[in-house]
Amino acid sequence: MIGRMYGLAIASQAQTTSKTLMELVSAADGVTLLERVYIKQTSFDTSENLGSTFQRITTTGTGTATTPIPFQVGDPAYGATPETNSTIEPTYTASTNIIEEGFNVLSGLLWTPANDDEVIVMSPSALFGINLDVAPSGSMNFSYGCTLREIGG
Amino acid sequence: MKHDPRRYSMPDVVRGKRFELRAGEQKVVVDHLSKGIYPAPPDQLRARFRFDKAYVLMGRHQLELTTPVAHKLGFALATNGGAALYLGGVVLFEVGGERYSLPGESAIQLGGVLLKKVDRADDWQRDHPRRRVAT
Repeated sequence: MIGRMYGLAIASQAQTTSKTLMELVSAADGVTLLERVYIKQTSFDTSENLGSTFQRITTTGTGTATTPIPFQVGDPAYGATPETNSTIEPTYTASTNIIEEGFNVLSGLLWTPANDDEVIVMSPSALFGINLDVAPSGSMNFSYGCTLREIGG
Repeated sequence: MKHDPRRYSMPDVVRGKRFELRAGEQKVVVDHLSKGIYPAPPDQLRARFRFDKAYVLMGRHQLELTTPVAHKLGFALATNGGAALYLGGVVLFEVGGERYSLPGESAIQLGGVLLKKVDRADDWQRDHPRRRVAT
């Protein structure tokens, strides 16, 4: 295996509006591959369709600094600090919407690249956002996260 | 202190770094150019692996790489692609005298996919420890 694997995970967090859930950033001296993204809903028992987009970011917003956890104990810390649960939205780069996926809140969203060519690549210092682009009808708890592979750094 | 890219604006920290690999008369170069002056690739660029090697397919050409070299090349493509994406310009990819200019996004993706293929080839090498592989 090349690179180091990290998991970024947020458990049952109340969401009431559309917003950026994860603002990922690559280390200044590393390349990061996005290997998995998931969004699950844990509190609402009625079927409802929401959506999510994966898009490059030009200018960072404001959110909660979150530390990705290395999959292998002893690996060094991830080389940058992603943010979650944005309070000020980042500026997304026009025409870079890579994935736009709808999902039912009862089953959630799981994205993995269908093959190696589809893996999402972040160059050094690049920013990438994963959002909830449709507002839920009421407060719902979401668990979400992603798997990152950092190479270099 | 760990470097935090958020303390700076994006263009201040995204820098390309010239990668050049020579073997006799042949060379492979990846660099960030502020202006594109070379023709676009005539055909699609793809990264693949087979057994213990990684390959970059460029139209009718095929570049065979050992895993350490492919790793460096993939990293250089992704890094210089980021510089081209955020600072403007193109990525020069020169192989054996043929010059390709790649948009930043293409170089990032090609580099990242090549890194994935290196991972696959590396797995193959570990699965076949008695098979002699190039180093």
